[in-house]
Amino acid sequence: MTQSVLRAGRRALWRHPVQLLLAVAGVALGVAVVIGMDLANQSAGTAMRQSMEAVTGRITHQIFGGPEGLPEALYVKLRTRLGVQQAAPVLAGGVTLAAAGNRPLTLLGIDPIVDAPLRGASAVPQQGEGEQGILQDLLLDPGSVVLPAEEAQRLGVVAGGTVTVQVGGQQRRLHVVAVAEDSDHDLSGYAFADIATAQEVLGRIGRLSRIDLILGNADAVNRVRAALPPGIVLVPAAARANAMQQMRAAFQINLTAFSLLALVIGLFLVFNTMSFMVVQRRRMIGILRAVGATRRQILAQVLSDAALIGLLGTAFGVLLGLVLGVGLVDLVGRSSTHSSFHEAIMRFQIEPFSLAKGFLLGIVGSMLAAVPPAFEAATVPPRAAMDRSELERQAHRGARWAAGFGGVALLAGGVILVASSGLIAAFTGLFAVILGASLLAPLASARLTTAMARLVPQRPIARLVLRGVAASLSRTGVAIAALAVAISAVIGVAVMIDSFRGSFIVWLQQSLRADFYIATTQEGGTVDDALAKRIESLPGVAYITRSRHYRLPSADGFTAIWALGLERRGWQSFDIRAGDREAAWLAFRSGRGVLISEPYAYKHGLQVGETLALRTALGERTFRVAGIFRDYGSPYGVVLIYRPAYQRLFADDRLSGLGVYLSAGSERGAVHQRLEAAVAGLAGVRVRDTQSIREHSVAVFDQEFVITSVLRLLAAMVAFVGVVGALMALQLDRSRELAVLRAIGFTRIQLGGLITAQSGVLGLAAGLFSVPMGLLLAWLLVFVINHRAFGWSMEFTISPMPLLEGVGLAIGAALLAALYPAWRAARTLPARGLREE
Amino acid sequence: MRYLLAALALAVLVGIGWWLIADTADPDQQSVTKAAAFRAPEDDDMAGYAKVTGPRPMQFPEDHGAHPDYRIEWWYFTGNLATAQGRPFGFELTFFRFAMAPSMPPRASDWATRQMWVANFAVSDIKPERFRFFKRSQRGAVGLAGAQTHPVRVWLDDWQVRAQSVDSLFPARLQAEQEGVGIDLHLSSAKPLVLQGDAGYSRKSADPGNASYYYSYTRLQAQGTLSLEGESYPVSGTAWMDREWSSSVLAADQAGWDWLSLQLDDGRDLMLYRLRRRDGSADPHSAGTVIGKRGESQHLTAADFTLTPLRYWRSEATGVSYPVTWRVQVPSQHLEFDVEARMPNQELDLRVRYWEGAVSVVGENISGRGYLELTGYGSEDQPGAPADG
Amino acid sequence: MAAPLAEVGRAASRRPCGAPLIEFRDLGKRYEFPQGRVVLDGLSGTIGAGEFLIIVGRSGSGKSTLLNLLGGLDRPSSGCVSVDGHSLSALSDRELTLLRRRRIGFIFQAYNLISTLTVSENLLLPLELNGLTGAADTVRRWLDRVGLVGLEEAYPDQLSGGEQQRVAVARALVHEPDLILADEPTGNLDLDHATRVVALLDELCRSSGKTLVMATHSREVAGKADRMLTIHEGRLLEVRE
Repeated sequence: MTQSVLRAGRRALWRHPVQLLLAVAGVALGVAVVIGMDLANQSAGTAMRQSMEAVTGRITHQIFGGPEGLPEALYVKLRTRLGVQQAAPVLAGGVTLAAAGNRPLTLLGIDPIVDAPLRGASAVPQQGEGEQGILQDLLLDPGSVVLPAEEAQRLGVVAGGTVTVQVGGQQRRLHVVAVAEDSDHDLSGYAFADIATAQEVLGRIGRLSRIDLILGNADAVNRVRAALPPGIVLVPAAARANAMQQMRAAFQINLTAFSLLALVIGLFLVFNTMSFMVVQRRRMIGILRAVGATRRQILAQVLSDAALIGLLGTAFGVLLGLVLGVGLVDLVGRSSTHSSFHEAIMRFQIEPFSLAKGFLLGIVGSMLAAVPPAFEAATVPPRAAMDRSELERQAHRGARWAAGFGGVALLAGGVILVASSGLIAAFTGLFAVILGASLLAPLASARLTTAMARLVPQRPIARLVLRGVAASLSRTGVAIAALAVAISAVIGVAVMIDSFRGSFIVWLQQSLRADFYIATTQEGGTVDDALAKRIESLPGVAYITRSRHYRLPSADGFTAIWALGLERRGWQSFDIRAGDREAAWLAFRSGRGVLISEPYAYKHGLQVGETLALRTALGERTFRVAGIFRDYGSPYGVVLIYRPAYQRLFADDRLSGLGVYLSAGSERGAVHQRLEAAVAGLAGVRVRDTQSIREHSVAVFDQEFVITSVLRLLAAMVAFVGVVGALMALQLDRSRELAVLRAIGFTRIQLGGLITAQSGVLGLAAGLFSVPMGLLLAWLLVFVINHRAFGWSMEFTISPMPLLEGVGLAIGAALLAALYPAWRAARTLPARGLREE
Repeated sequence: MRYLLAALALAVLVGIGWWLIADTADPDQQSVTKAAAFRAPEDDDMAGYAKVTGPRPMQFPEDHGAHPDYRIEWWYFTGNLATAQGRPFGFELTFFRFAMAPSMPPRASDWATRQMWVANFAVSDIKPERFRFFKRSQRGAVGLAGAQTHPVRVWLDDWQVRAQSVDSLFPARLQAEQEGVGIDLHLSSAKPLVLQGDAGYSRKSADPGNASYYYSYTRLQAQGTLSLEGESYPVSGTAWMDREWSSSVLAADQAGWDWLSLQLDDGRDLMLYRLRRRDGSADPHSAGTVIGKRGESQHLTAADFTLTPLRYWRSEATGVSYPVTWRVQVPSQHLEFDVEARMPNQELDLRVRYWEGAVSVVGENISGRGYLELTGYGSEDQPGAPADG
Repeated sequence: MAAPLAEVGRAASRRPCGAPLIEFRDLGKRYEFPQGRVVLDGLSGTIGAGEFLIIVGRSGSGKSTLLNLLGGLDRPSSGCVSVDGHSLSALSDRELTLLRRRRIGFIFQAYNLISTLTVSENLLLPLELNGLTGAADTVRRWLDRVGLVGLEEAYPDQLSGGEQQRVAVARALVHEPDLILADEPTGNLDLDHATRVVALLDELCRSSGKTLVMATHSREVAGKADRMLTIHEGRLLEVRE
C-alpha cells in the first residue's frame, strides 16, 4: 500500500512536468535569492573588514598630538625607553604640482624600515627588479619620492625623473626614485617619501603627524598612555575603524535589509510552492484515504515528494544563488567608489553558514511547508478532502488565521520598534512588520476583490474575474503575499531614497549659501588667516566666513570640530532641529555653547541643555549644547563652535576653508578670477563655485545609492520571476474549468482574456495592498532604521512615481504570468480539458 | 575617505621596505647568506669607504663606538648560561651597522642617515631543544639605533649593551626582549681585551684590503635573568664578545667561514676560524688565537690547526645542511677534541641566513663550552655537502 | 467568415421538422496512446432537427467521444461532421466556438458548473456570452422550470447532485440552443433523479423543438427517445426507431 501511495504521489509530479518545473523553480528561486544575497552581504562585510584591516593593519592604537602634530622625540622614547617595538611614525602634508595645474598632492612621510613589518605582509607589492635601490634612495637621496603611476603619467615623469612641487610658496625639486603600480588608482593624490625628506620638504623638522602602534594588552596601553606629555593622546584604532565602519554602514545596512527581504521572499516562494503542491493533490488524497491509506502514508507521500522537490530546487537554487552572489558581489564591488574594497570583495567567499541557510530553507523548509496542508488534507474525512469548497473554506479560515497572526506580528514589530533603541532590534521589528503585513495580504486581497465583485452583480464574466482571487484563496493566498512583500520593498526603498534625496537637496540649498567656497583639498590642510584678509579686501567681496575643521583626538576616537567665524546673517544657514534659535545663537556667540549635529547628538545621547567635554589646549572644558542642527555632511557627527572661542581654547588660528559672499551687483566671473589669483600657488587650495559643490554632492549621493537601487530592482525581479511561476502554476491547475468555459462558448481570446484578467486582478490586489505596506516600510526605513544607524532626520516625501511603478510592476508580473497558461488553455481542445482531473 | 586612502597607499609603499628587510623571507628566493652579505660589493661600490689595510693603534673606549666610514661593523655577544639547577641555555645578541653610502650631504632632518642597523637576538633552550630568534632593523638616527662612548652604549630600540662606568666597557648590562623571550645580564670581564690577528688587524685573504679590525673579550662572567614564555630564570654562565669592523671581509673566491669561540675548563680560551673557498678547501688565511688563563694570547695560523666536519644536520626549514660536529686539532697546544652542537637547530633563517649556536667541547681530558658560527652554507657557492649527517 | 456563421446561427428555426440537422460520415477517432487505440471506427449517420436521440453503449464504447466530436469539442481523426451542411472541420476555432455558444448546450456527467459563480450566475454566463438581454427574467424563468427557485444565490457545491444537474440542464438550455448534447447526464444520479432529469430534458426540448442527443449506458432512461443508437467498440451496432 505504502509503495502505491508513494507511486501515486510521484506520478502526480511527473504527470504535470510544467508544474513540477515551476515547483522546483519556486524552491530554487527562494534558495537562490537567500544564498545570493547572503553571499553578497558577507563578501561585502569581509571586504569591509579587510579594507579596514588594510588601513589600520594590525594597528591597535594611534598617537595624535594637537593641530601641530607631535615631536619626533616621543617616537624615539617609545621605542628605546618604553620598549614599544611595534610602532611606526607618519608625517603628512600638502604640496602642489605647478606642472599639473596646481594639482594638490599629499606628501606622506614614513619610515620604510619599520613600517612594513608593523603593518603586516599583506601589502607586499609584486614588483620585479629595481627595488633593491628604492629603499636606499628614499633614505639617502634628499627629496626622493615614490609616485603612483597615475600621478607620474599625469606629470609625464618616469622613475629617475624629477618633479617640481610648491610648498609654502616655495619650489622644491623632488626625485622620482620609483613609480608604484597603482591599477586601482588608490594612490592617486599621494607622493611617498622617507620621513626625513618629508620633514625637510614640508618644513616640519622634528615633527610627526602621528604614530601608529600595536599594543598587545591593557598593560602596554597604560604604560604608553602614562608616558605621553599633555596634549598628546592615545586613540584606539578600533575607534577609527568604527568611524570608517559608520561611513560604510549605509551600505551594509542596505544589504542586510535586502538579505532579510530575500529571506521573507524566499520563505514565501518555498511555502507557496509546497502548499500548492498539496492543494493540487487534495482530491487524490481524499481518494487514497477512501481506499484505505492511513494518514501516515499520506504524510509520507507528501513529505517524500516535498523532499524531492526541495532537493531538486535546492540543488538548482544553490547553483543559481552562487551565480547571483557572484553577480551581486561584482556589482557591489563595481559600484563601490573604493577600489581596494572592490578588490577585497572580489575575493568572493562561500560561507558555509549561507549554504546551510539555503539548504535548510530549501529542503527542510519545503518539507515543513508541506506538513500543515498535508496533515490537514489527511485529517479531514476523505469526502471533504475531495471537495473543493471545503478546501476553500479552509483557505479562508487560514487566511483569517494568517491575518490574525499577521496582526499580532505587526503589533509585536511595532512594540519592538517603539520599545527598543538598537539597530538590531530595529531590524527585528522591521522583519516582524514585513511578515505581519504580508500575512494580512491574502485576506485583504480576498476582501477587496469580493467587495469589487459586489459592484458587478449579474455580470458573471466580470464576477468570474473578480471572484477568482477570493474563491481560490487556497492557491492564490501565498502568491499574493509574496508579490505584496516584493512590491512593497520596491516601493518602500524608492520612497526612502526619494525622501533622503529630497531632504539632502534642501539641506544643501540651505547650508551652502556663500557664492564661492575656498577650501584645502588635503587631509588636515590649512591656510593662513592672511589669505582670508586678502580675500576679504578683494573688490566685489561683501564678506567672508572663516571655517576650521579639526579632528580632535579623544579617548574613544575623534571629535570632529567645526569652528566657524559666523555672523548673525549666516545663522539662517543652519537648520536648528532642537533648541531655541535665538538662545542658541547667543550661547554659540558667547563661546560657552556649542551646536551639535544630529548624528553627534544621537550617538552621544545628548539633548539641548546638556553638556559635553572637549580636551582643549588649555585642558578639558565643558560646553553646553545650545542646539542640534541638521547635517548630512558627516555620518559620525560634528561639534560646531564659535571660531574666536576655538582660537583661544585650541591655540589654532589656521583655517580649513572660507565662504565668500559677493556684494550685490558684483560681476561673478571677475570675482572668481580674482579669487583664483589670490589662491594661486597655495598648496591644495581650491576655489569652488557653490553650484558645482551642490551638483557634486548630489552626484556623490546618487552614487552612494546606486547599489540600493540595483538591489531594489533585483529583489523585485526575483520576486517577479517567483510570482510569475506561482501564478502560472495556479492557472495551469484550472484546465478543467477552462474546458467547460470553452464548451459553453468562450472563444480562445475570451478565455485568454479571462485568464489574463484574473491574474491581473491578483496583481492589482497585491499591488494595491503593497502601497500602504511599502509606505510603512519606507516610513520605518526613514524614521527608525536610518535614524538608528546615523541619527539623521529627514522629511518623508511621497511622490506618485514609485507607487505607480510598484503597482505597475505587480500587474505586469501577474499579466506576464498569464501568458503561457492563456496560450496553453486556448490551444487545448476542450474535450481534453474535460477529461482532466 | 581620504585618510583611508592615504593609509592604504602607505601600506602599499611600505611593502617595498618589507620586501627588502623582511624577517622571514621565502628561503628559495630571498635568503642571502651571511657570507654574501659581508662580501665586498662589486668593487666600484667600495670607493669612498675607509679600508682596512694594516694594523692601527686602538684606543678605548673610543674604538668600542662606531666607525661610520667603514662599510660594516659588529658587536657580537654569545654565551652559555644555566640556572642554578643546571638547566642550560645559550644566547646570542649581535648589533650590526651597515653604511649604505660612503658619505652624505648635510641635511636638515635628523632622520637622514647613511647608517643602517640590524640586530639579531637568539635564545637556545637546550633541554627541550627550542630555538627562538629575532631580528630588528633600524636607521642609525634620531637615537633609534647607534653606538656611543663615555659611557659605551650600543643599542637598537630597547635592545642594548651599556657600560656601567664612563671609561670602561665592562662591567656592562646586556638587555634584549621580544615576545616574552629576553635576557637581562650583567657582564664582567675575567680577562683583558684580546687583539686578534696582528694587533687587531685580521687579514682574511691574499688581498690586504679583505681584512678587518678585530678584538674580543673571550671570557665574560654573565649573571642575570633569562625569560622564556612568561617564566623568568636566574642564570649565570660565560659569554664572549667579538668586535669587528671592515669594509670588505671575504674575497670573491671565498664562500664563507666556520668560526669557533671556545672557553675550555682548563682556563684557556680558543678562537678559530676557517675561511672556506668555493671549492670547499680551507683558505690559508684561516686563523685563530689561543688565550691563556691569565689572558696572554698566541696567534694561530692556518697551519697550526685543523677543523674537520664530522656530522651534518639538515635544516627542515631551509633544506640547508650544516656541519654541527667538528674534530678540532691544535697540535702545538696539545689540543684535540670534538665540538658538538648542544642542540642541532640553531639556524637563523633570516634574510641573511646563518647557523650560530651553543656548542660543547668533548675531549678525553678536556671539556668546555662555546659558540659555533657557520656562514655561507646553502648558497649556490656552497661546496657539495653530504645530504644528511 | 461572417456569412456561413450567420447562416448557421439563423436558419435553425426555419428548418422543417425531420430534415437532418447533423450529419456525420465515416467518423473515426484514434488516440496515439496506447498503441493507436481506436475509439470510433467509421461511424456515419444523421440526426434530424427536433429529434431526441439516445446513444447507448457500455463505458468506454466511444459515446462521449462521439458526443464531443458532434459538439466540436474534439477533432476527428477521420471523417467529418456537418451541422446544417457546414463541415465542422472547415470552421475556424472562433466560428466553432460561436457555433457552440449559440446553437449548442452541453450537459456533463460531472455537472461541471463554475464553482466560483452562483447558480444564477452560472445561468447568466451563456446569456452574457450571447449578448442576450432581459437576462434576469430568463434566468428566473429557467430556474422555475427546473424547480430551483430560491437557490439563485447558492454556490454549486452547496447543492445536491440532482440539483446541480438540474442547474446544468438549465444552463444548457437558457440561451435557447438548437442542439443539446448531454453526456451521461444521469450518471451520477439515482434512478429516480435520473428519470426526472431525463423527463425534464425531454419535456424542455420537445416543447421548443430542440434536438437532444444524449449518451447513456442505462437503457432505463432511454424509453422516451425517438431513436436509439448503440455503439460497441467504436462501431455503430443498431439503429432503432
